[in-house]
Amino acid sequence: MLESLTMLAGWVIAAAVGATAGVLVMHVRGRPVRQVCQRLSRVSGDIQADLAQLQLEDTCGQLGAAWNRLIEEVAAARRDLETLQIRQQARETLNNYEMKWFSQLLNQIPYGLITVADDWLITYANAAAERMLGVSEGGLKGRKATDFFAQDLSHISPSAGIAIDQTSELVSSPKLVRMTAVDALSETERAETALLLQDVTQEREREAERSNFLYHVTHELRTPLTNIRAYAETLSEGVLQDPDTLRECYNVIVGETQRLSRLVEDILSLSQMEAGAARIKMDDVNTSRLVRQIVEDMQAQADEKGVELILSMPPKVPTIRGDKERLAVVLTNIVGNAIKYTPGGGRVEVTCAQESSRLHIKVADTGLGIAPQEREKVFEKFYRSTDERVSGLPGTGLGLALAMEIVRTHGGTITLESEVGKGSTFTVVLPIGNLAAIQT
Amino acid sequence: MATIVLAEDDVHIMRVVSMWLKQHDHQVFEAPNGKRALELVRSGVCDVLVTDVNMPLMDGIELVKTCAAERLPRLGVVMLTSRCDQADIVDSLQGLRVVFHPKPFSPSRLVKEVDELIKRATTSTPEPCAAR
Repeated sequence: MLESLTMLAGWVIAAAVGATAGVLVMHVRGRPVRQVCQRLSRVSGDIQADLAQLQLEDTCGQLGAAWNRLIEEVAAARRDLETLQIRQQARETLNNYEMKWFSQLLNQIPYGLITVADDWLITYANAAAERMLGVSEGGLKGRKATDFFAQDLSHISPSAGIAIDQTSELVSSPKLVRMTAVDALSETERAETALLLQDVTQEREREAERSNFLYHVTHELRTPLTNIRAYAETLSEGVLQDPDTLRECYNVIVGETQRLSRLVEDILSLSQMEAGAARIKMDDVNTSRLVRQIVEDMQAQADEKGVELILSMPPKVPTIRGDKERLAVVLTNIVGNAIKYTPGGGRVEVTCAQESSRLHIKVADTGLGIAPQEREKVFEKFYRSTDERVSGLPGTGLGLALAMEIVRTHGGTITLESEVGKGSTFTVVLPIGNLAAIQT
Repeated sequence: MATIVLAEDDVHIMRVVSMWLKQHDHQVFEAPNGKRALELVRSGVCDVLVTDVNMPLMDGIELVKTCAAERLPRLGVVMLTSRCDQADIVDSLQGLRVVFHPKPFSPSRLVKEVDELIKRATTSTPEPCAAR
């Protein structure tokens, strides 16, 4: 439009000049011609000049009228031209502003965005894409996108458009990046494809952790289920006559059912704690009473095994803020483990002590001990020691993981000291909520 | 009757399977881990190996692979495994003659499986080994 108007204006001016030249030839010595020439020079010099009607004499009356019309048309064309030029400038300014704003916006988004040509050469990359692919500012343009991915993507054509959805590790790091095509450019005439890059490393790790957890859960559930099914079938077949063997079968079914219940309960508790969905009933906990209660409850288990269970409490033990039921689970699991992994004739000692604003509950045993390489792992979900003496004993591998999670929720810690063959000491450290409240 | 090495680390499973196999006139040697099972198989007392997968000291897969390399046991192997693990285990034991029995299992069906394996092996298999 602008170009055609420019051409029109040029054409009109050229025509006017041509006509004027003709008049000049005819009236080279006449006054009207001089007048026309003067006006011509004024009009061509300044289009905003006074365009008052020319008062030409008779001989030039017709020429003057035509000239006036011509001048008006030229002036109108030039006015239009100027308006268009102003508009064009405004549009360019707006476009530049929009481009800048859009570029800033793209650089703010947490997802990588690149555009590539058909040969995978990068034509645009936002800041997140540069960070993700480990390249400094402006360093991606002109490079091949496929060179950054460990997986061979050369067989895929970027023009495949929305069909592109690839996840691959990067060449330069173990980061896992998902690349998906955005359909945005399919409407334009540009032969480029926009690709969205997402760092899915953590997402995949979480997925793997979830799968791993489910795998362990199903495996742990399978053993008691196998036993319940096998012993129930044994009883139902009626092949056993010996009352002692029959009783043993019933006992196994009851024991395995309890194991299954504990396992399900531990899994649910741990999942809730980890998801932050567990209901924690914070209250003032009479620590002295709680620890005494746990030790009393575990006494029968210790006696059965021939393990001496000792409780050493100072005369005054501070109250702590916490969930009594969940703290009971922590102590039951730790004291229970200590008894389980201490051979008959051994000793398990539970002590309480206040150290500044924290309460220390120690459970020390003279049991098997834990090898240095296993000390961190014992707090992991489903970890069972490879030590035959440990793995042969029943356990879900969830007790310490759950204890750790509960203590962490209370703002505390669990530490472990151990020596193989001599025993282990687990120390639960909990913040004291109200230092003024001391129980005797 | 056959001599069976039973490798299983869960005492209750060991006890009930052992009980069923003995009631069907098999002689059972119990091994609480893969290492002990391998010793028993190598000692030559084993016709059939019935093994769990996850065991301390040596797992069932390593046990079966080692046995296969030594062309043991005489008649075959039954592996007690979960359905979800089966595909991976089958892949890792490709080419070996192993019968997979899913957990939780029925002891009567397991015994039937062992009996059928013995029958098949004694009537149709000229090679006395678990590996093909």
